[in-house]
Amino acid sequence: MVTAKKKVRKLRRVEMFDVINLTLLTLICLSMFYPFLNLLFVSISAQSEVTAANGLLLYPKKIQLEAYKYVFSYNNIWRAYQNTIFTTIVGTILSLLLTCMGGYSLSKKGMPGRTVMTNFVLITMFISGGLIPTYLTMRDYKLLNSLWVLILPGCVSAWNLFLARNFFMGIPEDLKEACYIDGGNEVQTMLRIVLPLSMPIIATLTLFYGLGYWNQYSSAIIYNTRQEYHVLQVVVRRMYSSSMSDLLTPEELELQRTPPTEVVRAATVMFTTAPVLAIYPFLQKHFAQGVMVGSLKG
Amino acid sequence: MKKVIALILALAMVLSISAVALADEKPVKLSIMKSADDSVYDPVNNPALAKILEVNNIELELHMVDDITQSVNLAMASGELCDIIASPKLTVMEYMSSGYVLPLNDLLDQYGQDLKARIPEAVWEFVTLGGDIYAIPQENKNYKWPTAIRMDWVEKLGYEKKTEYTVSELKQILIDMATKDPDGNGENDTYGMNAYGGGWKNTNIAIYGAFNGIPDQNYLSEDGYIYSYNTSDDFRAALTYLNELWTAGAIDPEFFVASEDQATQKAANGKIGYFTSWWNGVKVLCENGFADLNPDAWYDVIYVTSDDGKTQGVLDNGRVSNSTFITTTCKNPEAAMKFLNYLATDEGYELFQYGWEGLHFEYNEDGTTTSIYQLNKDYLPLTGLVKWQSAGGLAPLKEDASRAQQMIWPFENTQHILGLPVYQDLFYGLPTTQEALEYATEVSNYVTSKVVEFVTGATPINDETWAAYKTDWAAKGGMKVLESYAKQYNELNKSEYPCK
Repeated sequence: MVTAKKKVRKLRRVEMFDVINLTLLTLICLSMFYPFLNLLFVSISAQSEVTAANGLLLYPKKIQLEAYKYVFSYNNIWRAYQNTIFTTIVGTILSLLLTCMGGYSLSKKGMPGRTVMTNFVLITMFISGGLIPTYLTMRDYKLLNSLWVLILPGCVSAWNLFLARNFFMGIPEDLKEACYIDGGNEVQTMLRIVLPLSMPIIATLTLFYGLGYWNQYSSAIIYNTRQEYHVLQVVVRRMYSSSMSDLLTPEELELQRTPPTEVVRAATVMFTTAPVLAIYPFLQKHFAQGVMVGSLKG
Repeated sequence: MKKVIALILALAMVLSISAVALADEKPVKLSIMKSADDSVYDPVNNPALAKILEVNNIELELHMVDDITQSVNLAMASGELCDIIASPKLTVMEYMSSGYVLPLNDLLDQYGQDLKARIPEAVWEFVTLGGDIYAIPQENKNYKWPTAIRMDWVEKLGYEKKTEYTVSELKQILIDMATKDPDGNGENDTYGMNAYGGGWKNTNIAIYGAFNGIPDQNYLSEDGYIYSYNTSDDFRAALTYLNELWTAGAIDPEFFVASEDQATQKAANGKIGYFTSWWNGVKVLCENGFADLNPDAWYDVIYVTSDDGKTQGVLDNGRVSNSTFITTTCKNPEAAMKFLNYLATDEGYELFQYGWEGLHFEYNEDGTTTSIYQLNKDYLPLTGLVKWQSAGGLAPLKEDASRAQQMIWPFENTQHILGLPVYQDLFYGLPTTQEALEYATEVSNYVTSKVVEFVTGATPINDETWAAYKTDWAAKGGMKVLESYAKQYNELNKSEYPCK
């Protein structure tokens, strides 16, 4: 009887703990999720409703898609989207290829000049060429006003190279030696043994590089001045901050678009982050593992 | 044999003549760099643009940049510049030492008659140095800061509806707007003003103007010395006035901390009664739902004067908005000047400023224009290359205009208030000095922090604190900046005004 009562009490404590725990975690999740949800609600609401609520909506009272219509029909937006998709896909593939190859090479303990090369890469993490020398270099390579200027210069990030190197160093040598014994060379070892075991780091690098290319802005405005090479962030930023210009008279502004309201700005943000949000769940499984494993080794 | 040679020579002559003829017909390639806007360069689908290119026999390569100063500097470093660059305000004067800015005197004499006729001589002075004209200035409308007041509240509070109020009258009105519940909701949630309009500098432009100046500007006194308004007794009087408003509760307590969005939301919710802002201030409020949320509200344009009625004015935006220059790397400066001059002709102006008649716009009976194209398809990629103020005009108010449109129209139609005084900085148009680059930011931050202290009462305004403020202002580099500009000014004008 006493034992049964104790068990019931213990069960009730556990249940109480679960309830409190779940409640707290739910509140924390909501506090993190709500800003995004609010952004979504704002983007599908009328501006007067958003203003009356001082920008915070629990739910949209009346759904309106005018802001999205504005965004979808903005000049050059689809060309910019196309450019961004191109640079993201091509850039990510190229970056992954070169980073994995570079990381694998630097992870080989017996490689001649490994220390020198590692230090050389390390230096580039702290010192860069500067804006003007870099610009002149891009000009000399005839990369200005092209999509390749957004891909090639930043193709291999030193930081990501070290992440990959450290991950590859963590793969047991025995597995690689088994491949050598079976007659495999370095390329085959990398392709058949190392890379299949490296999904976490590949997923991580895919996310890092992909986001980097997707969010490119400063390089885009420096190197590409022609409209046909503008990328999404450039056009979005222009949409976001358009028209408050002292260059324009009222007559001129009459002919151009009105300032973007909060609703339009929210729609703009949703428009640019939707693809990233769509892809992230597929990479999440590998991402968490990859970040930790790649960072621990010296 | 002789016949064969003669035939060959004749063939060679025909071919060379053809080559010359074809070369003459080939369009000239011109590249233009200008600040990015919402427009798209599409000569295929824009008949107005196609006509401009056809008439001038040119192919345009348009470079639209977000940071034109950075882009021009990079281009100068690389030695590869566009043929025509539309630089903001008078930054062209800072590029002159680079050797990339082409003097335009001869080109203007030969090909720029329409430009010279349209743009007033006084405006050309801003881009002239040592007798050489270095750019085509774009004439700016210098009055763009109307002041708005909730006239429905003014009348409800028992005050006379006027277009001009003295600072004393305005003070009482603003205090009552904060204390007498003009919106009638039973809550003490309204204010005379908040930061809507642009914070402590811009929202109060009309008030500063009634106190004889505008912050951050510099003037020549009647006694013959150059001074900064930021350290003048007039500015002290203006801050004292604002402190009185603050103490009485007429200013929103979030005035100095609210973001632009927060201030706009409060104004759009109808919680403030007064502001000075960029001329589309009321339009922005309506786009944020002001007219829908406050169907009885009404903003009117007003002017603010000193109590004796003698002093008033607002911020001058400068006579020059952009300056378009031709670079020394341009292979065909004659074609560039002809093209720019064409934009100043009647035909060219209509095409590049309004588009294609019947497709993009139509003329009203009084000669003004109304845009008929979809708003989301911006078709004016050449805006910002040439401009003068007597051109165009705002479309008249339509008979079926909504209440919001009727309210907005006087604020946009600034033509009717062009004659009012504006305060212009003495150093307008002078290149940035080294001292300004070094000290201006810190001095500006210091002035802002002291304004907050004085207006909120954290630091009382008296002789001692004001003297300490002026001393610190000078110590932080304010006097060095002032003296550096004064030196330039005196050199240019062959004068010897001291600074104080």
